Amino acid sequence: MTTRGFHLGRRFAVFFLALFALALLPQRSRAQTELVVTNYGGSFEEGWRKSVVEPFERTHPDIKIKLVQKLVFESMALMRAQKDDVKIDVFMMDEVGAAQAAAEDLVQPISVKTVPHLADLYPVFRVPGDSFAKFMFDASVIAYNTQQVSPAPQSYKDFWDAKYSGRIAINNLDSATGLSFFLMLLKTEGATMDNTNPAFAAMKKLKPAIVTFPEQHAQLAQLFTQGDIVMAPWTSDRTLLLASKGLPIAFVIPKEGGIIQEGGLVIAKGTRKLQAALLYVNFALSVEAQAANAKFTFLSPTNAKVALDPQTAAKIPNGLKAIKALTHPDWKKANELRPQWIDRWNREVTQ
Amino acid sequence: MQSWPAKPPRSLAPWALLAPNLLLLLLCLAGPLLLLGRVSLMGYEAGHGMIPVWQLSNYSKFFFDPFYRAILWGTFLLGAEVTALCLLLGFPLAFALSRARGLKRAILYFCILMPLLTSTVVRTFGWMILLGNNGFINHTLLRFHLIASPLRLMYNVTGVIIALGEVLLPFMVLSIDTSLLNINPSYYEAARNLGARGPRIFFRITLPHALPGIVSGCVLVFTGTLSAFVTPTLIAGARIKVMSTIIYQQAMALLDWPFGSAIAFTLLLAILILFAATLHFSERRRAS
Repeated sequence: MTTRGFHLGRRFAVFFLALFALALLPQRSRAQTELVVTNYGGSFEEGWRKSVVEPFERTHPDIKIKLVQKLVFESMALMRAQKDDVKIDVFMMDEVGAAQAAAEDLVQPISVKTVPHLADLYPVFRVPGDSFAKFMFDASVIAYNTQQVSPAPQSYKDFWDAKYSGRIAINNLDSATGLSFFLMLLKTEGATMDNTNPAFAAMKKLKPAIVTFPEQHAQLAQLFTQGDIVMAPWTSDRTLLLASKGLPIAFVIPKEGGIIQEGGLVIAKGTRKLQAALLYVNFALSVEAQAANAKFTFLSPTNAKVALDPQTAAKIPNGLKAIKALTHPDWKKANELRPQWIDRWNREVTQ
Repeated sequence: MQSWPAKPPRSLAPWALLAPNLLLLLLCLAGPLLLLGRVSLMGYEAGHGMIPVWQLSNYSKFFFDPFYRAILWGTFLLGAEVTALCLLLGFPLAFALSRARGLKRAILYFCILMPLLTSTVVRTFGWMILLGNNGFINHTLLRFHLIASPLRLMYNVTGVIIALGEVLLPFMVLSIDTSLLNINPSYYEAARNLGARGPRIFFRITLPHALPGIVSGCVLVFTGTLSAFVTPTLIAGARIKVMSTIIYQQAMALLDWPFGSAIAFTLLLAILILFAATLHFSERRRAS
């Protein structure tokens, strides 16, 4: 019995050793760079994989992309934490997060020399010192259920219409969608970043009509899908993504306008794979990647040379005219005042 | 009197056995906690980052503000409500489980463990589908004209209590089950021989012996509720604020790690004090 047990044990040991060696083998034989990059996850990731990751890996077989899912502010927290030992090389963040990362000196600036496609962007999408690359934009919109809301909403004031009481959601102010709505509300109510009182007064009036204050895109999708809400502030790309799943949902950019929300790629300062990171960012700015992103995930291109197919062009905000029509807020100021607004919002609106 | 040799010579064996665990705790718990404590004493300026100073202002900001104090009490209240629900539902279940034998017990055991077999996010989305205004429960009740308008089960504290109660129930049931199984059956026979009846047996034998299980079950459910994050966020949204959601808001959305750490530390201390008191109380009950 004992000898048999011994043999069995030894056989197992050999087996596991072989397995272990096998696991090591392919990594040794292929000298590949593994570039770790973040993205927003979910349906976004499916599109990003098809439009950017797979074509990029085909063009650069020596680079392997590892996609991890991180939300904007999680990314920011991670950048801080990994400052001395970079594990994730490229982060996907919105303007607010990226500007914060740049202010904390956590980013590796780029240039037309290192990322040639930067030169193809609409000038409005270049940031001071090229601290990061804007690879897409979308618009803050009003998303609505086309069967339940007719005629289509025209103004942010429509949220105050008693017809929709108990059938609307407003994103919480600590999310990007919530912040854009709040900035538009300032405009609608004749308030300013320095005097937000009229906006808070309006929100207090709206409070009882609001089903919930979601924080994530998935929650809004769920609310629309289940029919718990018929109207909510959202973004152009996420609305179209949900509509593409067959839901009767559409968006309008109301007469007060919409906020332009930009997505940026940020290279972490101190990355050990700078060359691969630069290639990746450059690829994400290319005409082919942006056209594919527009088609699959409805991200509006920042590259001026992208020619969209007519079907996509009719759906998403695009082109210089559309970009100019959207509001470009003073993000720096909004960022500095945001904690104050959120604190007041916590006490007066969601309480 | 002792039949075996007096005290064994002092040995390092117990320490050697404890060492791996202690090392792990020291590395993965005490270390990060110290770090958290340090950060909670730092300053923060929006748009610039953390300022490495030593100060208590994050704690005073929390305790002198009735808004945050209310959230702390609200969190404890939620913990108490979920614990009460689990105790109410869990005790009879544990009683039945402790009486069941063989296959019946195995099946019951599995059913009780079931909520723990799904991931939090999936389970919570499941509850959202059931509890929504147009969800399964309301839809069914409306269909059979049992209610006139949808019950508000989502986006308020009711939904959170239901969803957390479901997932934390196993901890209560299994804790109580363990202590019920430890009751020597001859106690019951003796009680019956002496003429005691159902309620008297329950209050004099079952309940006192189940008490350690009830206490540990309550402690597990209570802490589980206090540390729950996904469920309150998804089910209640921003309307219901608990400690975990405001810690997340400070740390992740506002990037104010110092204040977030201070809130986290406050919660930790509050739980420790509560536990120390509970354990002290239950140990004394047992001793007397």
